[in-house]
Amino acid sequence: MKEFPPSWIALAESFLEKARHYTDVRITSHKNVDLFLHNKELKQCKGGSYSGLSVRSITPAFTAFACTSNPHSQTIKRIFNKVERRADSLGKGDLPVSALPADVKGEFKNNDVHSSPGEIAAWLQERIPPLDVGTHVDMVLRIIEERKMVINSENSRLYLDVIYLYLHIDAAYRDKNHFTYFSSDLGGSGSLENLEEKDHSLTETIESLVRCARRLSEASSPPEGMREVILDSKLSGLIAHEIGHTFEADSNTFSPHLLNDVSIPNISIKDDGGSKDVFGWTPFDDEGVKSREITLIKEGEVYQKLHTLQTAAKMNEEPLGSGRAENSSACPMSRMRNTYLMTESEGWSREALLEDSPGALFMEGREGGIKVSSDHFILYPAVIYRVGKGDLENTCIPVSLDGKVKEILENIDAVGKDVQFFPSYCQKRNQGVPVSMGGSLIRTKLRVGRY
Amino acid sequence: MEKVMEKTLSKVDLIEIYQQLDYLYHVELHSNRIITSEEKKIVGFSSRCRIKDKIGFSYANTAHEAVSEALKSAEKSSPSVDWTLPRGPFEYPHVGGLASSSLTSLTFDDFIHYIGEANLTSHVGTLDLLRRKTRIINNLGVKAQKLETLMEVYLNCKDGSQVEHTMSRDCISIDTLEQMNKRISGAKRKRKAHLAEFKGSLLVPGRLSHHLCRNYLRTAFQIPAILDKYVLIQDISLVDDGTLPGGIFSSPFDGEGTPCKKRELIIEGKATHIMLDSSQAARQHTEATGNVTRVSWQSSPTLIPNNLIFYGKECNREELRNINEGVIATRLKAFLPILFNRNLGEVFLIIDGFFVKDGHIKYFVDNVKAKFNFFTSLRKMSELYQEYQQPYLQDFLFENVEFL
Repeated sequence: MKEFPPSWIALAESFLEKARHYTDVRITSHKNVDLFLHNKELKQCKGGSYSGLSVRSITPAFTAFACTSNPHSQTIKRIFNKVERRADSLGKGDLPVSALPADVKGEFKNNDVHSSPGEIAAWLQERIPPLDVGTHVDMVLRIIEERKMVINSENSRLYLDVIYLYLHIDAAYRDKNHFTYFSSDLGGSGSLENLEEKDHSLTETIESLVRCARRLSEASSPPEGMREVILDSKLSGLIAHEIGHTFEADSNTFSPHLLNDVSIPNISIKDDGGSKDVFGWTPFDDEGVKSREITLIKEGEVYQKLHTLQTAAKMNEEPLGSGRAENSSACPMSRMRNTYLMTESEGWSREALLEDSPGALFMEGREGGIKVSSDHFILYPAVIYRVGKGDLENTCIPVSLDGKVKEILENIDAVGKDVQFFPSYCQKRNQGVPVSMGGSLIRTKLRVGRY
Repeated sequence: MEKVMEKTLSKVDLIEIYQQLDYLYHVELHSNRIITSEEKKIVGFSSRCRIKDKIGFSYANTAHEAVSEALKSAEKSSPSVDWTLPRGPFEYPHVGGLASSSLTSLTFDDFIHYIGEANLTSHVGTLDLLRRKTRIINNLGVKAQKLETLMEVYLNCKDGSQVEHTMSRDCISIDTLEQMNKRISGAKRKRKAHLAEFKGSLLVPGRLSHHLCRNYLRTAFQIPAILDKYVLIQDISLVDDGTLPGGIFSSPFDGEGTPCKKRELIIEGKATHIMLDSSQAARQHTEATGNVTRVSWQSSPTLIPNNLIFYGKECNREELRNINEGVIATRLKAFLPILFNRNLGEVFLIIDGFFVKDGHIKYFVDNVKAKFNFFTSLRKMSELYQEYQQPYLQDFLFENVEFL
């Protein structure tokens, strides 16, 4: 991917020096390549690129935003003048100085994928295990190269050069009477090796997905009604993420107070920029604020919220790097980055939790989920098992799970000690951003099989 | 675009270049004040090509980049059979009002002034005005160009319900905004958040019914197995009309440059036609149906119905609203497709709306889950009418709906 032309940056900086209001400029460039594999065959390779420049002028009462996909001296000048003029006429006052990212500097890089798409496909093909008759594997690997620069009128200058990787795997089993499949998503940043799970190679992950797909062909219906369930990291991570949406201060679902008195000792839900190798790694946000950890809930208390510069100024709180945008043609909103649920005390090992939960239902993987309202969930696991004596026994077909957020949290009586992360794309007002969600195993009570 | 295509012709068997130029104005209102203004100018190109039996697709800021990346994409892909592009030149149908509106030259400052004139008193709302120029060319003689204007308005009522409306081209007017404003100011009904489970009727008003209908029919009407099957009750017929004057989804041509048409999808309950893109049509030795859409310039083309009109069980709107027990939807918040089969028409929605008993609105309810079958539960629909100034939107009445 090409470097940003220095003339764009110089021009933007000369305008920022003269800006009458707080103003920031974002220059972004994205290049996506999607590789579609069926078993070991590379079926299709497609992708594209987009680059652009945006200018935003903000006051406590008003935000003026303009962007172009064709930046050159005339268009850059034009959009600067437009946002200044609008901020003059529609916005009064300036943002409090304490809320502004001033003099923030940094250069962040995690881009060690230098292989061609053909070489990357070969890397994937090598990791597909031999497949039995009736089983097959479909994979889509999305390689996202992102380059971003945020500069502002307060002398900040931040630069990011990163590669995000997102791998979707479908393992399927077909015989005369059945067609079953099991899916999983893996993600990482920087290098292909970061796609692999901590304890399993990619080959082992694929083998386990194929085994699950085959087991689902012999699955029975699970018992329905209110049940004791153990949710795996993908489902507890999804719950953490959906709860996180109620902490987005610019959203019409903003309602953290609903969880203010929830009694969940030892459990925290946090959001941070993630480590360098996770999918959606965000060392700084699209408003030029360096990422810091945001504790949404700690032991039943609501701590911090997800802010943009504007909402932080309004509520007199500190912005912690959660103002994100899909690309330069989108205005930043308060968004999650890497959200996870964890225990503050010593957690359970998987073995001990299964040993202690005979008769419970173990929910693995996520087919999807939705927050119906600010206090009600519906989740769809990918597979359900009955827990026997310390192990997973009968495989059951996946059915819906639902419950009130407060009840799910308050009914948690055991939390695993390990946190695992999974990649996802979070959608809000037609903008998709890469995020990670993570969690530990949790044991709680939910209604099984209503929807 | 033409020059880039000419330079590539020696390297490819088939090539298509698509251009989209968007001017988008967006404002956010809060207590009658503008709190955010966004002005975007985005130009993008995408290209599809075939080299021998390999297919490529790519998108970029310039036609040159899009085409060169599409060629690289084709080189890396596996062979794919029977892929083609529409063969032109075509004579495109005249679709009224496409570029004649004065809004096609509206500036952002005019737009702000226009919103001020309408004196919107909503608490919260957004207005989007999109001017889009689209061009498609291919090496089989397709050359198509259009200019469109679309305005989307969302305004929140004090009772928690939402008024939303999409105006196309000549239908955009201050009168419409004022009517919406009046409706918001008059909304003072009491609110009830929870509803006990029951089985009843669901009335989906025009602007929402069209969204629901296109969404649920898009997969079913791509499968040849649906042909000659009875999918609706036997008195109802369905026409897909891409050339309907004033229709939101009307256009002279679709996302591949094939002329849009008027076709019967269902006659007296029986499925008679499905939607076909140019490749599928070539395989079946027939014509493409003009149903290809592009979600954005970065997306590969997909199939979707245009303007849908049901016939056979129409009644007037007042009669339709005379519900024994049920809900009139004001907002579709989510589709829950997981574990539900769109091909069979199974629908699971989360809606906000008004609970109705004996023909009278009782209270506003939110987050109601409604489960029904699109095909077997659709019993009646309103006659074609105008809402605000937008023509041809029908209300649907679904019966035997489970509200959870």
